[in-house]
Amino acid sequence: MDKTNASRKYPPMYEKIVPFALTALALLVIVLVLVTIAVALGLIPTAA
Amino acid sequence: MNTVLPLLSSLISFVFAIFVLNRYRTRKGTHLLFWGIGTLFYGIGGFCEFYNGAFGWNPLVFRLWYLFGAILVAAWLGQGTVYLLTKPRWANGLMIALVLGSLFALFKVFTAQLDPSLMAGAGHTGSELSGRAIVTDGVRVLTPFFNLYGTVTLVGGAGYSAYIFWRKRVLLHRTIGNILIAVGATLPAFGGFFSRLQIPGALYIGEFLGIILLFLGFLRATTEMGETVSAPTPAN
Repeated sequence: MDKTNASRKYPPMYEKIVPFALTALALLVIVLVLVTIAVALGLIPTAA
Repeated sequence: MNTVLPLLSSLISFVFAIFVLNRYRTRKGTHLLFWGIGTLFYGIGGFCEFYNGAFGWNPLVFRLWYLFGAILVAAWLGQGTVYLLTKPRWANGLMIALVLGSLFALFKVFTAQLDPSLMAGAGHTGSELSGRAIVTDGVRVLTPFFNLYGTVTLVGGAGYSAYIFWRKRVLLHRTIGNILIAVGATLPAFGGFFSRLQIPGALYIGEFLGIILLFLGFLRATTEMGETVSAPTPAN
């Protein structure tokens, strides 16, 4: 059974903000992981 | 800025730790224990930064800062999320690896050669703690591995939880709380990265804003907002 209940809604403001925030968060994590890997591999010139 | 911000971060972290450990005392849950330990590490790191800014260089304070504030804090916080979201067998296995890794890091940090003059750079006066003071090879290279584990587990876990609550349209306070926790957890990591790029104050600002969002997120996630979700109609 699909656990998503389309008839339940958050207040309108949160219906708009939450998906935006989750998408931004996913992008942040991807950037952060890539940056961390790049720093670890020495691909980004940082102060030694 | 190199004394006030870390002092505030440290104080907030210790108050946060009291909240989390008190919740662990009353509700149990290994995730709360690890979050409590992680926030204590955050507070120790902040206090060491404050000490360095206020009283100057001290090798013991630096080693404590690097161990707890730079290497361990994110990973131990993330381990709490691992306990919350995965099976105990997985969590215990990763916990053993984390403890062994932490002991190795302890050994490496406390046997490393230090040179505080190396902390001063193009954008740094040297009054802000930086891993550049570590001369010995094989110490700083540990940090990204611990932080990668911490970031993926803590930020990923909080983001995943927020997504699940949002998809089901339940527990709005936990959706909001987890988003705040996830964003808060990324800020010290970005601060550390920009600090490596010699942007002065980036690390301390990132840590300060990070602990505020983490604390607010925890409070939001653990405090119900009342019925704010519109329930389905019986016809549905």
